[in-house]
Amino acid sequence: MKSIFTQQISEKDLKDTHFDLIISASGYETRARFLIEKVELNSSYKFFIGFNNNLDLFDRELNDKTFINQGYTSIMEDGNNSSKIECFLEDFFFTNKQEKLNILVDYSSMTRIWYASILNSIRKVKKLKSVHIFFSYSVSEFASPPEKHIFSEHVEPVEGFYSLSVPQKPTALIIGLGYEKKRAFGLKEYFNADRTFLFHTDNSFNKEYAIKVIENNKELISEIDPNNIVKYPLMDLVYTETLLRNLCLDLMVDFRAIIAPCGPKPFTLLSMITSINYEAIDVWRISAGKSANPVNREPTGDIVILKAEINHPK
Amino acid sequence: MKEEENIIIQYNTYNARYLSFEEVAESFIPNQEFYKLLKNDNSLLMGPRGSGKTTLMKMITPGAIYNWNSTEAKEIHKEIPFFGIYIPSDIQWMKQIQSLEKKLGDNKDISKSISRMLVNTNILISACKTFTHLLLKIPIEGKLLSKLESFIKDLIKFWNIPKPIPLSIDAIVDSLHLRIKEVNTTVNKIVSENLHFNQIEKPNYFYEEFFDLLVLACNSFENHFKDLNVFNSNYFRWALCFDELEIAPEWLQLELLGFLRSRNQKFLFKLATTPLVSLYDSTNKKYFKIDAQLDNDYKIIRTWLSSRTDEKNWESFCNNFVSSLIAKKFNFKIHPLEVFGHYNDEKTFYENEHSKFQKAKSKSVYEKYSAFWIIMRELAIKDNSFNKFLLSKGIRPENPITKQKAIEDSVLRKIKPIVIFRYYFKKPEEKLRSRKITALYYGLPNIYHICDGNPRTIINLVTEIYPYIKIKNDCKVNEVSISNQARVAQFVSETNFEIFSNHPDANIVLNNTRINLGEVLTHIGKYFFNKIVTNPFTMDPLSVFIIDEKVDAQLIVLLKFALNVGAILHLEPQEGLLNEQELRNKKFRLSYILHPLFKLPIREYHTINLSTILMDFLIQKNNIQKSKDQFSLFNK
Amino acid sequence: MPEQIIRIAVMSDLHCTHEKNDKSTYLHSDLCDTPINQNPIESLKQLIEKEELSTDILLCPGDITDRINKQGFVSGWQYILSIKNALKSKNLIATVGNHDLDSRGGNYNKIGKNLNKDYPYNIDEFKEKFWSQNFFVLDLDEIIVLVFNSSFTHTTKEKAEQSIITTEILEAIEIELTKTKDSEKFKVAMCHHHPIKFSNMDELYKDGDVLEKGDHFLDLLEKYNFHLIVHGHKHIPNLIYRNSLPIFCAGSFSSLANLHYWDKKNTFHIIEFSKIHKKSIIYVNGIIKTWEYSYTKGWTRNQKNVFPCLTGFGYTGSIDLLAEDCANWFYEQNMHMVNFTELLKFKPDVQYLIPTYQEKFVNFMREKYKLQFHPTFDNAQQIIRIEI
Repeated sequence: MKSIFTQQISEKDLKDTHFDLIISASGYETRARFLIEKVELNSSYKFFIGFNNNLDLFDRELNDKTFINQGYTSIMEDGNNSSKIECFLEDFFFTNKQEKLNILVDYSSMTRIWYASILNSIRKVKKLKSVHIFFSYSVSEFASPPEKHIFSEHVEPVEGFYSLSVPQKPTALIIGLGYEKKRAFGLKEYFNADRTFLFHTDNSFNKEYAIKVIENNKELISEIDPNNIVKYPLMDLVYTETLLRNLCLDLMVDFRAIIAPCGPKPFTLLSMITSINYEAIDVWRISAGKSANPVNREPTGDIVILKAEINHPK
Repeated sequence: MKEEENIIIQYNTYNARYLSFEEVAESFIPNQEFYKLLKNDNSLLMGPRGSGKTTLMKMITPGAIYNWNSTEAKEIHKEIPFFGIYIPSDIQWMKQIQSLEKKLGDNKDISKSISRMLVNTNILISACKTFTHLLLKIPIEGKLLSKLESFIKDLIKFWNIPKPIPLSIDAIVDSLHLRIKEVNTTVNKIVSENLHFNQIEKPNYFYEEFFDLLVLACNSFENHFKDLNVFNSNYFRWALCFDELEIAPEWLQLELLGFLRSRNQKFLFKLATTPLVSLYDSTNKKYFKIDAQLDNDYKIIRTWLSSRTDEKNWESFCNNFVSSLIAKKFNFKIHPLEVFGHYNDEKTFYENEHSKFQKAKSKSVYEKYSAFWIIMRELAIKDNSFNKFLLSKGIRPENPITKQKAIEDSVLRKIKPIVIFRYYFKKPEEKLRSRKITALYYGLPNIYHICDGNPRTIINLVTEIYPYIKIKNDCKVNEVSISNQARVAQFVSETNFEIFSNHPDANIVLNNTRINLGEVLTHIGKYFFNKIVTNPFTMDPLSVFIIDEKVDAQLIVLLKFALNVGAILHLEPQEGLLNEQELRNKKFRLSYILHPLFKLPIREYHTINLSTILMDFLIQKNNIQKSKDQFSLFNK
Repeated sequence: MPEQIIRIAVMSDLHCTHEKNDKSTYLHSDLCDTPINQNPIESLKQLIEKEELSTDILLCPGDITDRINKQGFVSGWQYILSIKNALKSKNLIATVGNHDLDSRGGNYNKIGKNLNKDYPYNIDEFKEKFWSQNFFVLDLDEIIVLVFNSSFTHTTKEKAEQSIITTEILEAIEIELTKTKDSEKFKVAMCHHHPIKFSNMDELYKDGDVLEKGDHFLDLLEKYNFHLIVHGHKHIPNLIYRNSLPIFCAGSFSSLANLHYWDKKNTFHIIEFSKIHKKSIIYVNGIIKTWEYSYTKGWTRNQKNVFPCLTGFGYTGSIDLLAEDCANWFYEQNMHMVNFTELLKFKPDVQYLIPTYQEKFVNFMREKYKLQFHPTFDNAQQIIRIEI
C-alpha cells in the first residue's frame, strides 16, 4: 500500500479548492509571486517564507509586498535551514482540529531543504486522517547556467528521506541531471555505485534547457549504459513518477538505491515522494558550497501542479 | 535471486566491491600482496582508492578462493590457513550514520548504540555468507543435513534470532535485515516523539558484542564440520576481513586497530584501508595509541609502488592482467607487447620527423647518429642552458657522445628523459610548443608505470584502448599507434584529475578562500614542468615534495584526501604506519596517472618543500580574495 | 510425464500509439532509436533469443492500438508479427479490443478490416466469419481455439461503454462447438472483455464494462469442456476459476493505464498446457510463466510483483488435503530441508494452483505444518521446516 497517491491537476482545480493553509516563498525571483497573481486562491491561512539574504535584489521587495498585500504572514529563514518552518508547522498542526486538510505549497522559489521539510513535517502528523498537498511549480524562462564550474561540496541524505541500512547490498545511484556543468560528475565514483541511472528532461519541457543538460553532462552520459538513461517529460509529473518509481521498485531487490536530484525542482519533489512510498530509497542532496551568482527567473506562464494525497496506515 | 548473481560489469568502470565473489575469482590475477595477505597473521592492507584492495580482500574468502581456477589456486586451496569473512563498508552507509548522529545531536549514546548495532548486524550477515560458501563445498544430505540443522539451531540460539524461523541460513540473514527495519522505526519514534533512548524498550541486540557472537558461531561451525575432509581441520581459523576501514565508524576503526594485538588464536584481522590511518579518538579527544607491534602482531601490506622490486612485480602483474583482460574481451590470447609495443626514442620522433631520424635506425642508444644523439645535438642548438651543461660535462654539443662508460652511466643515462621532454616541448628562443597530446606516453613499460600500481586505472586504460585493437586475418594484432596510445593516456589522466577535483571532499577554505584540490595539483604539476622543461637545464630537476612545517594545517586536510584517493603518493613508506598527525616532513609525489596531464616524465627527481611550490599560488589566491573583499566593501 | 504439451504465448493490450506525447503506454511506433531495454518489443526479442523460447501459438486478446491510432495499429500489428516470428509460432490469433475500433467515427471496424491480411487470423474464411458473425472456431492439429469479438457493438461512443455476447451469437457458437464436442484436443477461448465481474482496485470507478451475458458464455465453454478462457481489457493480470473453468486475464503488455497507480507492471506470458490420461479420464493442466517489463531492465521473471512468475491451473481439489499430503510426505523424509523438485515428483498437482490457491496452500503449509518455501513459492528451490 502506497503512502502517497499523486495526480496532476489544473489551475482550475486550484481555483475550485478551499485551502486550509497556503505556504509560499519569497526571494528575488519574479516567479515567486506568479501563482498568487495568476490564480485567485481561497484559503483560511497563508504564509510565506522569506529568504533572510539578498533582501534588495531583483524582485524581492515587490514579492514581499505582493504577499503582504494579499494577507500573507511571513517567517524569515536561511535557505539551508528549516527549523523555523518546522516550528511554525508544528504549531499549526497542534492548534488545528480538522482531520482532513488541503494544503497548497508553491515551491517554485523554495530551496530543496524547505520543501523537503514541509513535506516531511506534514506527513508525520499522525492525527490527520488524510491530507491533500497541492504542490505548485511556476515554470521559469530559460536562463543560461553559470559558466564557471562550481564544485559540489555537500553530498548528504536529505533529512526525513533516508533510512539506515547495512552495506550488504550495493549502491545504485539515480541521478536527476541538471544543467549546471559537471554538477553530477564524479558522483558515481564517490558512491562507488554499482549501477548508475540518469534521468534527464526531454525536449517537451524546454528545448534549450534539455540541450544544455546533455551538453554539460556529456562526460557522464557517455559512460552510462544507454538502457540506464531515461528521458522524462517534466510537464507530465505522474508519468515521470511512474518511471522513477518503477525503477526504484526494481532496484530495491538487489540494491540500496539513492536518488540524487541535481535538476529541476519538480523532479526533486518526485524523488521525495518516491522515497516516502519506498522507505528503503534515499534522497540525497548534492549542492555547491558557495551558491552561484543570483539569477532572476521570469515565469513562462506555465504552472505544473501535483496533488499528493497522504494516507496514514490504519 | 541471490544478490551476487546477475551482475554485469558497467561501461568503462570496474569496481570489485560489488562483483560477486565468483566473478572476482574468475578474472583474478594474483600479485605479491595477495600472497602476503594469505599468511597466517594480522594484516593491514593499505592503498589508495582503486588499488585493488577489495579484490584482494574478497579473494581470501571461501566464496572467491574456491571458485578460483588456476594452477596456483589448487595449492592455495589446500594451504590457506583461514576462512575469510568479508565485511563490507561503504560511503552511503557511513553518511547515513553521520546524518543520524547529526539528527540525534547531543544524545551520543543513542547514535553510538545504533551504530554498534548496525556494525554488528553487518558482520553477522557477512559471517553467514562465508558459512554458506563453505557449506557449498559439501554435498548436504543424510547425516550432514542433520549437522547443518544443528548448526543453524546454534546460530538461532547464540544470536538471539526470534522464532518461529525457517531452518536456513538465508532465513537468519532475513531476520538480521529485519533488525535494521526495527532500528529505523526506533529512530523515527525517538525523533518524532522526542523520546529519550532509555524510554524505549530495546531488544538484546543493542547490547551485544560482535566478536563474542562470532566466536560462538565459528566454534559451532568447527564443531559440526571439522571432521570433513574438505576442510583442513589443522587450519580451523577465521580471518575477519574488514574492507574500507577508513569509512567505517570511528569507534570501530579504533577498536579494530586495538584488535591487531592478537586477541584469540582462532581469529585473524585483515584490515584494508587507505594509506593514511586516522588515530584520532574524537570521544576522548586524544590520539589513540596502537598497542600492537608492527611485524610482531601485524604486518603492513602496501599496494602502491615504493621500490624497484615493487615496480618489477607490477610490470609482471600487468602483463598477466592485461593479457587476461584482452583475452576476455576479444577471446584471443596475446601478449600486451603486441598491442602497446616498446617505448623507444627513435620511434617517438620518427613518425613526425622521419627524415631527421632515419639514420637513427639500428643504432644503439648512446652511439653517434642514434635518436638520442640527434636529440641532444638539436636541443643544444635551441637550448643554451643545455649546451652549457654538455660543455660542463666535457661533452661536445655538436657530437654528444662519450667514450667514458662512467659518464654515459652517470650523466647521459640520467639526463635522457629530461632531454627528451625538453626537446619535445622546446622551440628555439625559449618558446614552448603547444602540444595537445604528449606522444611520449606509450609503449611498455611506460603504460604500466603511468597506472602507478593501480589496477582500476589499468582496466580503464585498457578499456579505452579496445577500440584501437584490430585483429588481423593472420591472428596477429596491430600495434596501437603512438598517438592513439598517448591520446588514451591523456584521456585517462584527465578523467582521473576530474574525478579527484570534483570529489565533494576536494575543497577547503583557507583564509576565507575556497581552494580545490585540482588547483593545488595543477600548480604542483606546472611547477615541476617548469623545473624540467622551461627553467635552465639541470641534471637534478624536482619532482618530489615534502609537506614541510610551513604548510598550513588546512592544506594538509586536502593533501590527506589527495593521498587517500591516490592523487599523491607517499614515498619511502618503510617507516611503518603513516597516521594523520605524521604527514609533515614526509616525501610525496604526484601520482604518475596525472603525469600525462601535466606533461611530466615518469621519474622521481629531487625534493622541494611544498610551501615553496605553493607560495605564488597562495599569494595569488589571497590577492583575489582581498580584491573581492574590497569590491564588496565598495558595493556596500 | 505429460503425454502432450502445447505452448501458447499471450501479449495483450499493447496500446501502441504514434502520439509522441501520449505517455500512457511504453509502446510507440517510432521506437527505432530507443535503447533496447526501453523498447518492450526489442527487449522481448532479446529475451526470446537468450532463453530460446518458442511457442506453438501467439494470442493477442485485443487493444493493439490506443484510441484507434492508425499508425499505432499498423506498427502494433507489425510488432506482434515480429514476436510471432521470434517465437517461431505457427499461428498468430488476435481479437479486437475496444481501442481497435473507431466508435466515434462512423465506420467503426473499417480500419481493423483493412489493417492487414493476417489480422485477426491469416485465413480468409475465418476473417470473414469474424467480421460478419463476430466469432470463429479454429480447429488446429492439437487445439481448438474459439475467438470472439466482444467489442462488436461499439459502433458509437455511447455503445462503446458496454460489451455483450448476444443469445444469437451464443447459439451460433454452440452450433460450431457441437462439432468438436467429443474432441480430446486442448480447448481455449479468447475475447477482449472480461466475461465475469472484475472489480477495479480503486473505489472511484465501478466495473461497468463486463461482458453482458458473460455467464452464459462461460456456461457454454464449460459445457463444451474448454480448458481456459483468455481475455484482456483489464490491465492487471488475474487467474481465477468459474466452477472448474480457469479465466485468465493477461494484463497489459505495454500500457501504463491503471497500472502505475497500483505499482503493477506490464506482463507477457507463456501458457504450457499438458495432458495426461489416467484410466479413461483425461486430465488437462497448465502452468503459466510470466515475465514483467521494466523500462530500464527489460523483461525479467524473478520476483512476485504483479503476478506469480510461475502459476498454473487444473488442480481444483481441496487445498487443505493437498497441504496435508505434502506436509506428511515432508515429515516422513525426516529432514529439515527438502528440494522443491522432490516435492513436485511426489505431488505434481502443486504446480497447477491458481494464485489464490497458491497463497492458501503456502499459508496452510506455514501456519499449520510449519513449512516454508524458499525463497518464494513461485520460485521455490527448497521447502524448509520452521523452528518454533
